Amino acid sequence: MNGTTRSPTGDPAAAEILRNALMVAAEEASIVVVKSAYSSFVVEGSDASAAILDVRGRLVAQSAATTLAHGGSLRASIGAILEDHPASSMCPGDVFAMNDVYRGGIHANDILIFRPVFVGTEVAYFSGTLIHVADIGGLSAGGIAAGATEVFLEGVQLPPVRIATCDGLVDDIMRTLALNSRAPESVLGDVRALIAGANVAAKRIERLVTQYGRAAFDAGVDDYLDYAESRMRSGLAALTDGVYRGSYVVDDDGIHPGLSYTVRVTVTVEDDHVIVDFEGTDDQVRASINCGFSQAISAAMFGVRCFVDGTIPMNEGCFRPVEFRLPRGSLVNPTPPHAAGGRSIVMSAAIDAIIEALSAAQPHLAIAASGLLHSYAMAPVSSAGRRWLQMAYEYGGLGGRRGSDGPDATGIHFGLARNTIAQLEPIETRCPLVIESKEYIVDSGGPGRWRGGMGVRTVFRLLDDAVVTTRSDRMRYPPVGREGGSAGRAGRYLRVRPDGIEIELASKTSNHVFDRGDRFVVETSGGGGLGDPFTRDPDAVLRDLRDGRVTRGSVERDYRVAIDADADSDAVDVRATTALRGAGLRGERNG
Amino acid sequence: MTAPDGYSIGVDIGGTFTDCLVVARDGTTTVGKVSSTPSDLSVGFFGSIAAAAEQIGLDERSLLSATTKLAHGTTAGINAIVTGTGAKVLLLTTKGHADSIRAMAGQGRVLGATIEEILDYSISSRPDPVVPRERVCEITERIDFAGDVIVAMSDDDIGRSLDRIDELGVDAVAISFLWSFVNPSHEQRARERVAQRFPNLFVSCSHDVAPRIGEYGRTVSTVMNAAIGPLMVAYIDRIVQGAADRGLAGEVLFGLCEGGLVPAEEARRHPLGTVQSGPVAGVVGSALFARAMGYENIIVTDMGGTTLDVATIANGEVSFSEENELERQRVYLRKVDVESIGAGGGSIAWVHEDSGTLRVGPRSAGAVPGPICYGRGGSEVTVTDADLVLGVLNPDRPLAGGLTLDVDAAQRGVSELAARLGMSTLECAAGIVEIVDSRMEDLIRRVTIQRGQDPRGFTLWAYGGASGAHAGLYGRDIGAPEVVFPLGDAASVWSAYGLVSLQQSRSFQANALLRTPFDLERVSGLLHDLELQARKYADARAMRDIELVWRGDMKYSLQVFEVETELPDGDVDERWAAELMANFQRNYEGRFGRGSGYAEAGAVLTALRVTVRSPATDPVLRPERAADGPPAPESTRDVYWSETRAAEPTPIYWGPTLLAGVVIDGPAIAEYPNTTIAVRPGQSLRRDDFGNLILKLKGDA
Repeated sequence: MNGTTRSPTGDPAAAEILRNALMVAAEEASIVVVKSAYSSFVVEGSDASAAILDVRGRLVAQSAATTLAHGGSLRASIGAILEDHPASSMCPGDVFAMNDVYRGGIHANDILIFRPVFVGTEVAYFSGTLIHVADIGGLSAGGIAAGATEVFLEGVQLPPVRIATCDGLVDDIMRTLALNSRAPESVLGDVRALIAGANVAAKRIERLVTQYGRAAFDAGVDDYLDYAESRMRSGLAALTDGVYRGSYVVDDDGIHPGLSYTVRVTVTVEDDHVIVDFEGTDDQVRASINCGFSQAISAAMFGVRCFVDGTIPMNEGCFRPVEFRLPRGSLVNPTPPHAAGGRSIVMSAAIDAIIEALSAAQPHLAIAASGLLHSYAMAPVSSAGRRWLQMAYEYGGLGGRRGSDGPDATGIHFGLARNTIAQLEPIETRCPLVIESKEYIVDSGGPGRWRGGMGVRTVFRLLDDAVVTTRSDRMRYPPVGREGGSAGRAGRYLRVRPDGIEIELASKTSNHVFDRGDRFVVETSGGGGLGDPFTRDPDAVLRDLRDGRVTRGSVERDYRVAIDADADSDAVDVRATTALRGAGLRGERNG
Repeated sequence: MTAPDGYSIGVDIGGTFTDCLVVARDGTTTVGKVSSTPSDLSVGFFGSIAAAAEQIGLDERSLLSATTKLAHGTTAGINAIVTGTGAKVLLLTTKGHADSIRAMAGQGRVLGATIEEILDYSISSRPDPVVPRERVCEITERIDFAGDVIVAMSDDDIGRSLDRIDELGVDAVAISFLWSFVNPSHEQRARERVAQRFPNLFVSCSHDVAPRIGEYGRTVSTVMNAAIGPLMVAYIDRIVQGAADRGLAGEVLFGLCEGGLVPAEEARRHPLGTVQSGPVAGVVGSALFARAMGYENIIVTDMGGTTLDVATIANGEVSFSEENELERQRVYLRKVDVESIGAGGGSIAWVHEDSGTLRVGPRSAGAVPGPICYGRGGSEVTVTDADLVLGVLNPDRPLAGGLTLDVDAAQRGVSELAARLGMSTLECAAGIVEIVDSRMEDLIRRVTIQRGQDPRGFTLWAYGGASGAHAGLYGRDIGAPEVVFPLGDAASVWSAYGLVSLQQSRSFQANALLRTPFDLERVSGLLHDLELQARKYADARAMRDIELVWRGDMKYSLQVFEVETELPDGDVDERWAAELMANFQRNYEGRFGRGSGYAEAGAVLTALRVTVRSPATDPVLRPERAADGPPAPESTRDVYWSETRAAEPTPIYWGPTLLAGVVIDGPAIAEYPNTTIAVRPGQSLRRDDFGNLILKLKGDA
């Protein structure tokens, strides 16, 4: 059977077939993990990632469900695995696990699993899988330890360890994980699901290598990486050469009230490659917002990829023309024992800073600043009674894009996340909550020729006492507009008491106690607008009014559109609009 | 001339053709095929019956007056959904939740989107909601998960929404409140109010259309049902009346995507259930037919002009999903699992400029303009053009509709593409076919892996116009031992065959959240109520010899995926519960793999379901005359085979001359009026005693 399929090298059809096969192998691993995982955070969100890597540590392919955050971590961590466990020491049936943030991991709850693929007696490739497991200890249930000041408060750290051998699971490790978890059944189930997924992909790669023959398969992989590189380079070559800067100010760190931090980036575009340099970014802090290096690289890669063809396959070739400079000891490359569980904040900051920089290099792809992922967790005050946990996130609106409005409340900004939000009814069966409403926030999208996407407001009424933990940003500094567009609306977390008194929670709060009958309100930020809102198509403004996205006041004030309410159905009063807009000189509007 | 009693007729309307299959009591089949008539689908419907009648030698009235069963799979509903030409719907929903259909549980960006739409930040977006915000009325009311009313329904809000119906001139109303499937009283009262003031308006309630947890999916399903309601009612009436006028002896029954038939009144009430009934009928018919032939595990593939549909049948059973995607929205619709990719004879081949690689699809030339070789204005190379250039398709034999293939034009198209890639014309054509077939192989593998099955233990089943030329290639690499083309050339109207083989059936469901250890008294009560509903339905329909099939949806407490599980017979006691758990664990591991379930966490029974149905009758297999000698090829032509990378003189057989027992060894081509089968080098094709063609993919081990 050896080498029955013809060599993909120099054959445009065979190369296409191998490329598909690699992607599908990763896709299948991802499907298997999702199907058998336990953590509802993972399964309902389809948040399982899978990748194929080679023995040189190169990322070969990843599943479509894999976010860049996860793909980047799988890519970075394989190096640590190989460093501690040289390929020559690996045996068939071995499976490795790790989560060490300083060596490529994300944070404790994101467990990475790798399984070597043997060709003959030699390790040639790896399959890797990753999900956010339910709970692995630390300060706060579910892994949002917003108050962590050191990595030790964020859950169990795993160096690269052997978690299975040809004899099966390594019981010592599994028992250790279980003992350190608030939800031991879930964590063990999740780890088993990860291993099952890695096994499926490994077997598929073994079969493919047999089918093609080792040499032809390896050559096909090399071609695939070169192919991604060449597409990446031609995309980068289309950017105008130059040095571009961007920055993002983080509201606070959750520990030191009032202190804000800046992520700064300089993107140098030269011919067909770029340098992404975070020099000038603030130093790491004794709080959880630091961002492990693999996550900073993922963020940078995502930001850059927004300005080239988004369908370029994600593999090692994409990384070749991009150089990353991450000052050691800064927010984007923390050292032990700095906590990093809140890295989503700095990741988002890095992404928005790069988008800001490159929007100047490639104005026809410009994007205004975006609303964030707003995470929260609700849990019982005491672990003695009924056990429940509502850990989730709500999405902010994205920034307006050249040619189209920012999508409403969606996760793409978070490294292409495709995560879904659970429907409300299932949550009410699991938790003592009534979800009173979930609505788009009117006027939350930043006005612009292309409007920012909408933020969303969710209101939970608590039927029992509970503690609430939050993690977000864009609550003090809203997503800004671009090229004359205005800022979106900042997000908020509120505790509303039965008597109507509102208490605003910080963007990063740990275990705030709520009483039964209180309401917890999550408001996500709206995206910034792009372009002068006075130039927005009046019919689009009218449509927004009908759709409940903007108020009548905003129509007149922010867009200077006059609505003729006397007509049969509301219509734009063209003459009055022209007059309003003609008068609307920029200076007057700002005054 | 009088006809013998007891014809059964299936009519399946597709995008291009309307297929009719008439089955006589002795199992004889007759095909009637006419072009579909999009402006009034009923014209093609009756046209196809008339065409079949003519073949038999009867007039339409004589045939219909001797027909006891007329089963129809309609696409009228799905067409309206896809083209957005359904009714203008007003939605009433719980206050605070009007945006549920816009937020789409966060799925909007990825559900049903192409990989490009998912990965490309600059184009990623949500589809429009199923109802624009201005046609959503919020009603003050709230029921909690236990079914208790925690906010009374505001009659004033209802009154205001009735005024909106007038103001906006809507054609249908959807009512979807939170937790209505636990306590439908608010929806029922709202419906009564609407009916009082607008007695002729089509109204759908979510507890009725999609009684299932999850407000977004339930609301979308209800709205879509309402949107296609008015036009489906009119269409169904036209078909029923037309059949009666033409003397139909029996009644018209409508196919459901859950794989049964219902009378007109049911289809009018829940038209969403008829969506995709044609393809589903093909799968269910395959299951019945395969069982009669002794096959337990098959993968069904239907390759047409624009899509490949794939379904699996394990241990003789089709599988179902309760949630599906339709036009990028999540719908709650019990449907036989059929997965599709946009790959078919019409898929377009192109060169990706940046990388200089050959690509196929996802765009399709469809029926119009169609492949270059159809000469209808198509200018882009398609898979069919490649098949023709390779010599697999016969340039001298016109298609069923009389269309002649222009091989020179196809040659020119492919060679132009080949020149840009630095390949020879034949290599390029072979590459196009291999790419499309490898995508099909990927889909087949994905579908089986998703269900925890190993494709190597399955027999491939292939029908649809383009399967014959491709199954030998896409079947080869998944490791299936053989491909069956059921009933040979009749495979080209297989969905109509499937419709004939379906029986009346209807499911009734009770939703629950019953955790282990089960409250057996409650279970018993629910089952009792379900049985009453089912028997009442069967009595009202005068269904005879009914059988009740009991199923439950179950999952592990800490996991999300549900598995349909057979409910044990007998009294609901400890033994019953133990047997249920055993069934569940077996099914779960069968679907997701060994060790994937976590029994210690306990299980949840989320739904109980009974299906009342008339028993399926086994298809009549009619032994055919055996061949008395080896087959003789009709001619020889050069066909390019990628196995040998050369065009070789290849024997061409005229299918209708191949009799039972005949075996032809590849490389060879067997041509039929409606399909062409490629027998690749190393493969062989056999006709069995019942008219099926069996392609053996591997040599004897």
